[in-house]
Amino acid sequence: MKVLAAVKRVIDYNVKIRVKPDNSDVDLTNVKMALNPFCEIAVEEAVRLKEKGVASEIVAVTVGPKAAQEQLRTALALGADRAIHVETDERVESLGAAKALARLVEEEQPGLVILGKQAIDTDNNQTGQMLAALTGLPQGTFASEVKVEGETLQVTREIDGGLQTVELSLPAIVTTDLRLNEPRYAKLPDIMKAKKKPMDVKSPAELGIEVASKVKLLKVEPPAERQGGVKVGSVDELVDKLKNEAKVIS
Amino acid sequence: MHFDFTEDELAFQDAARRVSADVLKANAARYDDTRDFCAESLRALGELGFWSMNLPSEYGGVDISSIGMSLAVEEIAYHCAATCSSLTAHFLATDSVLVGGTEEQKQALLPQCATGEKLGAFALTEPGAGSNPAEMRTKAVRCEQGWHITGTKHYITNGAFADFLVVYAKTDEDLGHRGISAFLVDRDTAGLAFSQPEKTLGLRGSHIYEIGIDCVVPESVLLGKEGAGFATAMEVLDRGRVEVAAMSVGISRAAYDDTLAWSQERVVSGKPLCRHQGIQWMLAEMHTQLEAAKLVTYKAAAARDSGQRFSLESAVAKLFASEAAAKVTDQAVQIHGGYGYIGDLPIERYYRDARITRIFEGTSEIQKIIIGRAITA
Amino acid sequence: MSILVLAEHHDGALAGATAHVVAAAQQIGGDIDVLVAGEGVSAIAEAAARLGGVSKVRVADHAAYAHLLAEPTAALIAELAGDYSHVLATASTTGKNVLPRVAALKDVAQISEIIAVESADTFKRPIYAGNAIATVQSEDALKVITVRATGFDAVGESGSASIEAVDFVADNTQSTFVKEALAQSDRPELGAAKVVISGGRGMGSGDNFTLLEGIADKLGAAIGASRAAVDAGFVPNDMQVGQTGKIVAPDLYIAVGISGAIQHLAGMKDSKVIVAINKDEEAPIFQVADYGLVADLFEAVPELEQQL
Repeated sequence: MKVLAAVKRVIDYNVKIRVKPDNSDVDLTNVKMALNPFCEIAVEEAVRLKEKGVASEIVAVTVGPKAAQEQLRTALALGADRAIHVETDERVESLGAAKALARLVEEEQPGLVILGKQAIDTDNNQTGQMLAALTGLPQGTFASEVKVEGETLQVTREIDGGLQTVELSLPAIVTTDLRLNEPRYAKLPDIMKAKKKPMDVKSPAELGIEVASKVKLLKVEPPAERQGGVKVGSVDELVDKLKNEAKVIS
Repeated sequence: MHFDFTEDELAFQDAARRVSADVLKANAARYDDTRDFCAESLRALGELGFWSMNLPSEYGGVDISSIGMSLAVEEIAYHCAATCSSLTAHFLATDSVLVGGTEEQKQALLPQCATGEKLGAFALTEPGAGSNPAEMRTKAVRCEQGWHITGTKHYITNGAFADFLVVYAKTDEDLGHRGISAFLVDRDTAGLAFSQPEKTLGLRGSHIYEIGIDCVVPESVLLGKEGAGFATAMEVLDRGRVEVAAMSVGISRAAYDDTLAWSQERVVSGKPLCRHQGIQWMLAEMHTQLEAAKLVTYKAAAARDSGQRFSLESAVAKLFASEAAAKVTDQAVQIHGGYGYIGDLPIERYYRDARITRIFEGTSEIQKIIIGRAITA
Repeated sequence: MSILVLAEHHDGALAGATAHVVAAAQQIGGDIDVLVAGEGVSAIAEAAARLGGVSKVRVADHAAYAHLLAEPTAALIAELAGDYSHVLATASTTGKNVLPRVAALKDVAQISEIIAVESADTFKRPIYAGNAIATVQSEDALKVITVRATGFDAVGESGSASIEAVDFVADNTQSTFVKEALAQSDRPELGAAKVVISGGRGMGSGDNFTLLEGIADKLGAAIGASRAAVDAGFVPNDMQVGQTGKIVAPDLYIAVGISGAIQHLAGMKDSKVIVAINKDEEAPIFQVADYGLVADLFEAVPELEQQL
């Protein structure tokens, strides 16, 4: 079975973000970028499926600027066999990315597509679900366990308050939650070998789609500063404030 | 001159950052606190190939540039300087083999050092011979089974944890430094007596030992040619100083980043510290020291790959970056005030860890001698 | 304008979050219909009909919608969406699972987790894990939106909407429900708890953490710790809140004997309400606390437990 693993280039999760002074967006100038952590889990799951003999080939795919090839290379170092880069400098959001991925699914005919459940920049949590809609495939989102059983896929999903297990026909779309696996680190020799693995570059136009977002980003602001609060004189007063002012206890 | 890193260099930096931010960072405070050897962190680096960074691919290395290696060393030091010190000590040992060993010795040993199976130690310094190795007393005398080595080495990083030691000893006392040879001594050789790890100010997870030596080793462990030890050691130290510079940059950057963040959060007299001009000046000095230290380090790394002599560049980098680390970590403590002095935050650890960088692999004064001689030659 | 709100429900009851989403719909303005999809959901539909501001409750009561699997539920909403300018759902795992699929079926964008309505097409939403707030405007004719419930005050139960059945039955051969295992733990997980009470070095020992348990039991809180407390060996690593531990953002965070080292603050400063109990008046934790109590924790904590 061929597995497609979709990845996104995002700000490194350790970096503290700054909003641009003109409030047009978050300032990404000279900021360390990395593979989105949920996408790393997606690649890891694909690699584990290959190690178990379930997956035969792993294709890492991304939609984004030229620099996103760095992240594809990381995916190749982690164990993907080849990569496809849909190159665009547009501000791509979930629907555009899903449309590009849908075309790649059409071309590649994978048995399974694994994506991160969300990117830590826009926090949309949409692309996998949208890809499932566009390809007419079933979806197993927020997966904490994935088992291929013959022609079907059992996905355990992290839902509010617990876990839900669903059975999907294959091919299917899966999005990863944090507990699905703990991704390995790339080994230095594999990083060097990754350079030699094939990487295809395509444009959205070649795929016959438009990827630019139809949601306008009007303004980005830092969250309201937390103001230091008040000192209370006693436990009585504290309980009173929590009940009647903050209303966080009853 | 161009200032862009290659794709490979950035990939190495990224790989080092990842494992360091997770594994090394999680262990760093504990190592410092308990003085346990940084075995777990060192092993994690070994499994991922970081022990091989100084080696070409024919000996199991990865053919990364020295700049790429320095970027990785910097990331490792950023999260755990102790682990970084043990790793760079391993590089001194394997560099010794790479520079001074026979082809057979390189093939036999280096691939295992690259994969993390064998850890090395570099045994040059002696109680009576620190800055000037030519004054060493350890000697190796030919005997029936090969060589009989006797003497005492101290401040030997990795010592008892290493699988092998590169022991420098005089094979001809009349020839001065030209009478020094190096030996690959297995850690389990009878006649090696390791002290308890020294109680060090910093880098507490990276143990250093005094080693009493009275052992007989076979002829085959003589590293390369008899009498070539001093030249090997000097070239190895030239190489190693680039890594000390990178390590210093890593510690400085950690102290700087933490301090900048602290100055933005900590409110004094109604405004964040960073809005007080006096503090801004201190931050500006730290930033400038750090930036300059990076540049001399990367330049020395580039010189190291050029194939030309790079003693001057590596001494400049080591001198400047280690002195910068002292200043930056000192300012970090100062800006943190009392919080910088207690163990809740890693600031005081950075301050202690940075101190050795002005001493080991040639003190700042020795670097000035090297630089002075080079520029007046 | 007309708005369709997908009702959230669990164990046969309408989830409280739905009333918050209806409130968001009111801010957008227009007729508000609530869609109750599921199997055996008539009681839920009746509860939804009582929500203030709702004109009509549409009920799709069919085995196909049991467990609100994404494939049939999205197909249902897409089928109905033609009647509406907006489709809203809670930013729950159900809403997040279903609504992007609806949006793609209708070839429109989806807007996730709004926390404020600026106008009928403009919304505020957190990005970068809440470290920035984006104002976004949708150019699509149909707006498909998930709503963060805490951003809006719930509507009351003043309504009496009409209830009508939806006949459309989505065909689904692709996915089947297998099982659900809801967490049974008495103590919620640290990362997901609505209330967190954490102890720091001031606790003095691991045994003293039992002091916090009484309060945790009463408030249904998870127990956390500062790095100092973990480093001191009082409690295990997985309890650590902070930059290097778990990042939490509960409704209520109670910091006991925690000085407020920057690395700890980084892990909890997004909590809605922060309480600090510390005997050191100068402790930096008080700079972020909404309510600070300068007191000996060994006296204040038992007293607090009693009063809850």
